[in-house]
Amino acid sequence: MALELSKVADPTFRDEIAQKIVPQETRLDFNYCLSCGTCDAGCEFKGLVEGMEPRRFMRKIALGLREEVLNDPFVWLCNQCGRCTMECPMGINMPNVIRCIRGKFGLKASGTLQETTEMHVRTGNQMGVSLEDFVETVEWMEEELRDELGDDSVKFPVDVKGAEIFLLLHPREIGIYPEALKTMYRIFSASGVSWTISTKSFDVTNFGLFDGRDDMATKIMQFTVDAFKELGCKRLVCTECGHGYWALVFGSKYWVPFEYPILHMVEFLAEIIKDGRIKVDKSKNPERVTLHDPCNLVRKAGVAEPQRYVLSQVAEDFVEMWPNREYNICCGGGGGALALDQKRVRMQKALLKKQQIERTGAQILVSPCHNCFDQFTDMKREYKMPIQIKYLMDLVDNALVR
Amino acid sequence: MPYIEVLGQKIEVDEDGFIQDPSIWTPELAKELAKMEEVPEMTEDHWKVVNYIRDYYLKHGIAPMIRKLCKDTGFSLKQIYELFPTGPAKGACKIAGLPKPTGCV
Repeated sequence: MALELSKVADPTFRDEIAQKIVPQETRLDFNYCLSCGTCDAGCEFKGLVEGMEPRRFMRKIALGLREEVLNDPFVWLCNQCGRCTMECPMGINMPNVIRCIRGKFGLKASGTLQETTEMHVRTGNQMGVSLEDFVETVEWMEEELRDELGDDSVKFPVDVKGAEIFLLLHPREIGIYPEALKTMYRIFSASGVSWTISTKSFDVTNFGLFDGRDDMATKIMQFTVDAFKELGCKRLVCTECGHGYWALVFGSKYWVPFEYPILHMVEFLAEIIKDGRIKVDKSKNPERVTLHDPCNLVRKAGVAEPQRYVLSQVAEDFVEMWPNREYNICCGGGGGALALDQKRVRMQKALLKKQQIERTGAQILVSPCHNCFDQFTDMKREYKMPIQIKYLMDLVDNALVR
Repeated sequence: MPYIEVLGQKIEVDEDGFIQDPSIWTPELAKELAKMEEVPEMTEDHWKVVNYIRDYYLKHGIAPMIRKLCKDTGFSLKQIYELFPTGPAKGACKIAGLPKPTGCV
C-alpha cells in the first residue's frame, strides 16, 4: 500500500486547495484533519446514500490523492449543508472545501448547475428573464391587485430612488410564480415602509455559491451592489431564498464589500410585526404548522429566531420538528442538487425529512427557502404526502388584518 | 442515463424526466410524458399550451415566461395550473419536450 501510495500521492495537492480556497483569511491547513471520522457522524446522509462519506473524502485530500478526489462522487453529492463541520473538532469548513474543489479545478457538473451561473452572469438573472418580461409581469400583477383590492392606485415601486428597502426577488417570482409579487405587495404596502425593486438587479440568487466559481459569484453580486447604491437605498431585503441570502452575507466579506444591512424576508416580517407596523390575526391560520430550517439561513447565517417569532404571531398551532435550528436535517436538495441531475439521490435523502415532518402531524410545512421548497414539492409527489408547503410570507399574508 | 419506453422505443430522459434530445419530440411522445405529469388526457386546451411553448422554445431557445404564456394563449394563471397540476415549468415544458430549465425551478 505504501509503495502504491507513493506513486499516486501528490504532495502539492493539499497546498493547492489551501491556496485556492475562499476565504483566504482563514486558509485551512488540512494537516489539522485528524481523519477521526467525526464528520461522518455529523453527516445526515452517511449510511443512507452511497458515497456520502466526508471522512473518506478528507482522508483522500490529506493523502494528496488528486485524481481520486477530483473524481469522487462526493464532490457533487455533498449538499454543503455544514452539518459535519459542526461536529469537526478542528472546525474544518466542508462547504468551503467542496466549493473549492468544484470551482477551482475545472470540473464539469451534471445537469444545469454551471449553466445557471453563466446565465446569470450573461443576462443579469439566473432564468434569463428579459426587461420586457419583468415590466409586463409587474404590470400584470398590478392590474390583478387593483381589481382584488378595489384600489386603482396600486403601483409597484420600481427603481424608486432613496427608498428605505431594496427588495430582491427570485426570478421565478417573475417567470413562473408571479402570485408571490402580490403577496409581497400586500404585506409591504400594509407596513407603510418605503421599498423598491430594481430593473437593473432583482435576482437574489447566486449559483456561484454552489458551483464554487468565485469570479462569477463576484460578478453576480456586483450587479446587486451597483443597483443598490445607484438607488441610494438603506437596507437590503431578500425574498425567501436561503442560499441567496447567505451568498450576500458571505459575499459581502469575500466577494464585494457591502456595508449595508442585509435582511432575509423572515427577519423583515418579524420586524414589522414586532414594531406594530402590520396587524395580524393568528386565528386565520388554525392548521398545525411545522417549520423547516434551511441550512444556508439557519446553520450558516444563524437566523433561527425571527421565523419562530413570526409563527408565534400568525399561526395557532406551531410545532417544532426535531432536531431543529442549527441541528436541522438538510432537505437533501441543497448545494445546487436541484440543478444537478440526481433526483433519485435527492428522493433517498428526503426520506429523513419525510419522517421528521410526519412525526409533527403538521398539515402545513413552512419552508423559507425556494430551494428546499422545490425539494419538498418533489418529496410530496414522490411519497404522496398530504402536506401543504408554504412560504412564511404566505401565512403572514393570510393573517393580515387590513 | 435513465430512459422511458414509449411505443416500443427507449427514450433517454434525465432524472427529473426531461427528454435529453428535444429534436426527437413527437405528439405521441408528448401524450406519454403528459401521463407522468398528472395529465391523463391531452385536450385541445393542453395542446394549445404545449404547442405554444414548443414553438416559442424553437424560436427563442428558452421557455416563455408565464406572462407571455398566459397573454398569448389567453389562459389565466389559474387555468394553466388546472391544466398542468405540476406547473408550467416542470409540467407543461416537460410535455413540450424542452430540456430542464436553468435555475432552481
